Amino acid sequence: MKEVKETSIKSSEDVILARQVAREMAKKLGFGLADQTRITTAVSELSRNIYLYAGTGRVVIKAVSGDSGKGMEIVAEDNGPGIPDIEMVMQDGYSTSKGLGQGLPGTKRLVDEFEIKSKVGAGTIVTIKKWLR
Amino acid sequence: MAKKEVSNISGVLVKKEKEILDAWIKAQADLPAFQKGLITAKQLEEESSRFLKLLVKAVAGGNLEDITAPEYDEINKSLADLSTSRASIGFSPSETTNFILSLRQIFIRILQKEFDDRLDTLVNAGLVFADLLDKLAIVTFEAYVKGREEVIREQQKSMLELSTPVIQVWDEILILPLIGSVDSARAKQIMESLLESIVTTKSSMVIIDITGVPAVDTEVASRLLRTMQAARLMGAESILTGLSPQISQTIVHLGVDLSGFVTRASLRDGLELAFRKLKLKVTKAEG
Ligand SMILES: Nc1ncnc2c1ncn2[C@@H]1O[C@H](COP(=O)(O)OP(=O)(O)O)[C@@H](O)[C@H]1O
Ligand SMILES: [Mg+2]
Repeated sequence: MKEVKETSIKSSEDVILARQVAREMAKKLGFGLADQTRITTAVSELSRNIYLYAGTGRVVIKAVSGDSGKGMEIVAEDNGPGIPDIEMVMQDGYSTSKGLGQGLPGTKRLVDEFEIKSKVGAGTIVTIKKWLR
Repeated sequence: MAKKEVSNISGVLVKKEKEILDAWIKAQADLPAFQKGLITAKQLEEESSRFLKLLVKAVAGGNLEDITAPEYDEINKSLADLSTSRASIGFSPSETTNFILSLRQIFIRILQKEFDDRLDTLVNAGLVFADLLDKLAIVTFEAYVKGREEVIREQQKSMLELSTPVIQVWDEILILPLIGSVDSARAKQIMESLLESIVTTKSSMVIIDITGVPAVDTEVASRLLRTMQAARLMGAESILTGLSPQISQTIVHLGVDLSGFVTRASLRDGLELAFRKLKLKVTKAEG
């Protein structure tokens, strides 16, 4: 299946939009209600981080297939300030904005694959995958 | 292409403007968009006539290729406005681009009549004009997509702005039924009105029902936690209701700790608990 949806994140409403796009796609690919909720929530976390910390960016959601069968890949990408210490932000409860600090570590627990790349002054890319089973 | 042929096309456009307009309006009236009654006959006439006038003006100088040139500014803008407004009244993408594409056949037919003895000129003119209309159709389509996005944004805004009433269901019991996305600005306003109501109604129980909230991420969870903490400081206990099994599970995965607060699956269960805590009993009347 060739399905790619891109949502640019510029305002807090775009976070809602990205979330809706994710839910639609998850539903269409045949994910159950529990996984739909996990995927939607993960996209919510990542796009909100873009809005909060980078200002603008984009979320690309697509259907993928691999060794583990069919699934969904989400890439959240920005050209914001970047993250100086990835290990730190992946710890539960670490936040620079008085948030809960559970967004990134929580997202990692909600999905099957999680990868974060960041460069200070250049931006951040988070890629997550969820497989149908 | 030879300059002469280009001026031929513009010439025909100018000369036959009225004829083209009449045929075009007739063709459009047969299209499904019009049949569905999305626009009136008068609108169709006005919009078509305005567009054709602008087109005649734009091609007058002989430029039928570069629609980014200044003489096309007016027509591009007017097309964009038209598509945006059509997107908002429910035209589909194809119905919207058909406005332009339906002109192609009509013009080709007119050209055929004009140049029926000169096949070369006919073919060339036809190609050039079809090309121009394609470019304008793309402008239309792009504007349409932007228009749809605008509509979606507006709808979401109105969802966000849905007022959230705080309902006093019984002495000392408030219910806050949350519906839609409880993001940022709206969440703050909800929290304030709840705290205010606790004071004015002297309530000691608050039921926050999130049955209608589509997603609970860490931001929403933290708003809920803070609201319940603030309510507690004001002497009211909160009961969080309407957590679907999926949302409860997701909250646990996220690592959000709701253990300090009472949760119930349904609003009904929450209300029953509130009654019990206030030592109220609902019984069936006898007889
Ligand atoms: N896209 C990003 N760009 C820059 N910094 C980020 C980005 N995403 C997350 N961070 C940093 O990582 C921290 C932890 O993020 P997260 O786990 O989502 O918790 P929270 O958003 O509640 O702070 C944030 O406080 C922020 O400093
Ligand atoms: Mg976050």
